Amino acid sequence: MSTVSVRYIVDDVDAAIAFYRDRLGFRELMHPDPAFAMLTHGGLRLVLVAPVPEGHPGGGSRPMPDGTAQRPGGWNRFMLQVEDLPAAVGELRAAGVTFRNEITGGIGARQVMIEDPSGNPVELFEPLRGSSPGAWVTCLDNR
Amino acid sequence: MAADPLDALRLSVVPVDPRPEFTAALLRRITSAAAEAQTRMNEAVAGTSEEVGNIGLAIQRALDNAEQMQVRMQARAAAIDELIASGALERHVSSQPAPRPPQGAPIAARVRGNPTVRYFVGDLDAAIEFYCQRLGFEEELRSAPAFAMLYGGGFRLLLSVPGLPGAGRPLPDGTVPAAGGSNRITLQVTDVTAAIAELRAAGVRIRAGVSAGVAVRQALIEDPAGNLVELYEPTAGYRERPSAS
Repeated sequence: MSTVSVRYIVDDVDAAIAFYRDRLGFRELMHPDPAFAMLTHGGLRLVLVAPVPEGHPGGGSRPMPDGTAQRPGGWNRFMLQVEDLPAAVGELRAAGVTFRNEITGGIGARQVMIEDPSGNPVELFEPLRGSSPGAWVTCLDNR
Repeated sequence: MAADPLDALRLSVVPVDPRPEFTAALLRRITSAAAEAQTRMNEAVAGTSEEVGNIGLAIQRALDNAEQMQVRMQARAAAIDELIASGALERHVSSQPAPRPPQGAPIAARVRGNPTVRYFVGDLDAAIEFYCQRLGFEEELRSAPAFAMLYGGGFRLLLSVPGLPGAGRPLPDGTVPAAGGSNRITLQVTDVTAAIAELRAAGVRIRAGVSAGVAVRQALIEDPAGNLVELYEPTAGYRERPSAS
């Protein structure tokens, strides 16, 4: 196991690309099909797919074998570390981004949850500095 | 009102009762950081500042002076805290310094650190066992019963329990987070058929067997909470970057 990506199901790939690129600074790696795009940001690779019917060549977003359709939403999410969470929140609010909650305190970090245009959650977090596990873990990560 | 059980984690620079495996993993990464700092100092021909030297000294002091693991960890954490506070570590040890975004770029563009994903699980211990035993993650931190932090394959996986303190807390409107959904992490394997056979034999639930996609063969498994994990194997034509043309 060498490479990790996150796959998000979206209703509209183009709208999702615009959101992740313009609001969160992702870069588009490829968009070879209307139902598929691959973006990157830091060490994260984000695969965006729209649901496709059974028999579509793209295998990542077909219905499950039992017929269950894949769909956006849920609670599992990737997290992006920002330097100044309140400033990021202000900027994203001004841009009309949807928030699921307000900034909350967590273990070694404070965080907030936003939604992409399809309603998928993205968590933004800012590590607390000083004597918290978050601080040294983050410090090591940022080498 | 009961105290937040996670408060203990906010008080100390080391996890309470760190597990030996976690301590060893942390040690490896700190040692690697120290080695990298040393290499950078050796490589620097001009402009080696006193500050850079101090980083090496601080880390080396932390490495040399301590006897017991607990003491060593605290020494390192203190040294690193010092470096964080001075900003020196970020400037000189960082292999990928955070680029200052151009004027007008989104603040959230300043992404740092390892990729991090949060999954919700009903049973923390079962999830930890699944990801560590079946998928090769290592446990970094466990704050039972609400939260754990795993690491593997270059990214961090946070496990949170719905309804408990931390990320599992209900939202302001009362909605409680839950496991499941279609979004997932995808892990690259060299032989997806063999991997699925092995996982099936171990009793892992296979949500979708191996199928062909564009330049990949892939399958979906479920963790004990019902969260999807995708395994894929590159096939002919696979590429992660746009072609040069």
